[in-house]
Amino acid sequence: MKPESSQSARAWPVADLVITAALIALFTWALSSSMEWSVRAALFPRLVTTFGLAIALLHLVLLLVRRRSGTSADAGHGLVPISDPEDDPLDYAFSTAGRRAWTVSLAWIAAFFVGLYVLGVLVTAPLFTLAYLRLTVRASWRLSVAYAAVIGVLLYVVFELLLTVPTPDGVLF
Amino acid sequence: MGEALLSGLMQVLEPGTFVLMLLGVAIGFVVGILPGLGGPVTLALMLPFTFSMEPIEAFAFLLGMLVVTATTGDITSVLFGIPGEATSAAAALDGYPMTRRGESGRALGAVLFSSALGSLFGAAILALSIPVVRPVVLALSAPEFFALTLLGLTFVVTLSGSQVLKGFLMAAFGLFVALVGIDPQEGVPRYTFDQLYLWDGIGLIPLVIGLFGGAELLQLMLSKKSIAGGTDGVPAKVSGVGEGIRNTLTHWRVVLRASSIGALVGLIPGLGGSVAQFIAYGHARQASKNPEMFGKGAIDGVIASGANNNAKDGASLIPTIAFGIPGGASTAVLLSAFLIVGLNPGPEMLTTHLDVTFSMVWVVIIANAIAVAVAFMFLRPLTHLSFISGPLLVPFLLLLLGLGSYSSSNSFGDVFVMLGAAAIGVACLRWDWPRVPFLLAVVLGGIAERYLFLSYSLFGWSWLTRPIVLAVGALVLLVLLQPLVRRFRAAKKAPDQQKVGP
Repeated sequence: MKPESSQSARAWPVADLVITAALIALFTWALSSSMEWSVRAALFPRLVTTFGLAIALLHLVLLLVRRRSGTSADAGHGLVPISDPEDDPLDYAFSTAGRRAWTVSLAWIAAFFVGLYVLGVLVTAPLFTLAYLRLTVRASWRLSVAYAAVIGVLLYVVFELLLTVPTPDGVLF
Repeated sequence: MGEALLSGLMQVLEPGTFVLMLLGVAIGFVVGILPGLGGPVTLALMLPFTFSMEPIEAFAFLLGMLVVTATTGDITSVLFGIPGEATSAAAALDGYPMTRRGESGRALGAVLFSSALGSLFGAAILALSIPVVRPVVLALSAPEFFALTLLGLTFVVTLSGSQVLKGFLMAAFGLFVALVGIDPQEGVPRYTFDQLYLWDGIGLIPLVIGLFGGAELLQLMLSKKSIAGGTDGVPAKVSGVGEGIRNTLTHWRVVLRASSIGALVGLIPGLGGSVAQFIAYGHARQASKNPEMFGKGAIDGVIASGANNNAKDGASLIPTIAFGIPGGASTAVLLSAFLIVGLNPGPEMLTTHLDVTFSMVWVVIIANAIAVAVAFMFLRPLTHLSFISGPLLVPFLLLLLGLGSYSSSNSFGDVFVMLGAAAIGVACLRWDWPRVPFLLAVVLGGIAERYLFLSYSLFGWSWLTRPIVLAVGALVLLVLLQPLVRRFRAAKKAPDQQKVGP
């Protein structure tokens, strides 16, 4: 999915502008920070950030100029052939999902990682599995409990007993 | 030499040694599939068990485990888009889109078969290079390694698709990320925000897991479909495996070139498999008749990743065995195994202990053959995972993401890095910015800085005039100028066509 490709020729490529501006700010800050270091420590960072800043400024200028002519910033400056790949038939859900779907999905992810930090993985993983399957997938109690149990046992047997790899302990456990 | 080759094989096939190798293969199989729990970590965990082993037994166990992680890491990349190993990230780029298209059987067939061929190639290079390796590696020094790193970075051009400028910007961002941490020259903390965790720099494993796996997981949650969401449910049988194998055979040139790149990069200490995979992938795209399909499910992209990933393992043993210079983290751990079993890397390994060296060649071949055969046997259940309802997989995949990122250094800092990388991955997919140049630059940034300083410290600025540096420099210019030349040709062709046309 290429959201920009479907926009009218003179619409502002807002996302590209915001990302480019953010990178300009980042490289400017990084370059100014490197001024406080000795030459040996700062040489490579200065090279990298100057290069990044130059490319970002060029991209910004091209975004603004190309907007007037209705082409992409990457097209027509001699770096690439002017061709946009066909839209991916598989498509990505990011541009089509609604605000509610985004909020719910991000909330579940946040819940998992907050749980990981507070309760540890051995408690969070089965609990999360049970809650997610019941509330989002609307799975049966039998499947949800079985899945949660398998996750818990697998986690304990593989990581704790067989591989003896340290797993995240929570703040509480 | 032939006698040592045969003796190496016979010793590997001894029942006790063979069983230990099978045990290593089994552990490597599981570890490879689990994201984050990388080969080096597992090698380090298993090292204490080799104290009482004979040299060949120890290497059959450890090396058998290590080479198999690369093969099975590709399976997770193809099925879930979450690289099982940092070195399997390139396999996700085209393997996962194929899975989403319902072609997981074909993708797995191709990646596994090309893995087997790649490992054969790597083992052959290891065996053949033993007599000639010394002068070749000694001819290279820090300036040449720096030039080769720059060459690796120029592959941003081919990895960015039609978004070259965005690709360069993402590469610059990646280089910036690589700068985070303690400066290797003077010990100055750079961009660390007074956080002790950042002194070691940004971990590659959580970054790779987040950049690829995090984004795909969120996509699965939003779409609520199975991974192969666009297809008509679970197939009655796993189809396309044979086609994948046939594709690998018809793309034998891709296998050969990707394996050669893997072997060459594996040979150079410090570059490692994370770099090799993207150089091979970039080259496969460059040489492909359908470069526009790369990133959307190009079979040659999958083949290049599989072959390269396994060829580099055999070759990376060369500097370790011949000079005691580890090519990467895994071989660094393996190097300690030499000391544990009482062997000294160096000329001894090429003379009195030649049979041990050749036994390693056989372990690379046999362990990979077993792993690929087992993977083919379990292909049906593995492939069916991609047809399970997406939301059902979410708890399992979230667990893999969390554990995978955490277990790389047992720190919650890595989990935050993974989440940050996932946000970058999502932004890249949502607004069409290329992810791979970013990752390539993160991998190469630290290496480039180290070799640049070494070159300057050893040779002043005269290193710029060394013949190999000049030759690689010319190659770098050629790669950078290629899009301009292509555009010039296209522009020249257009008026000609207009003249011919009606």
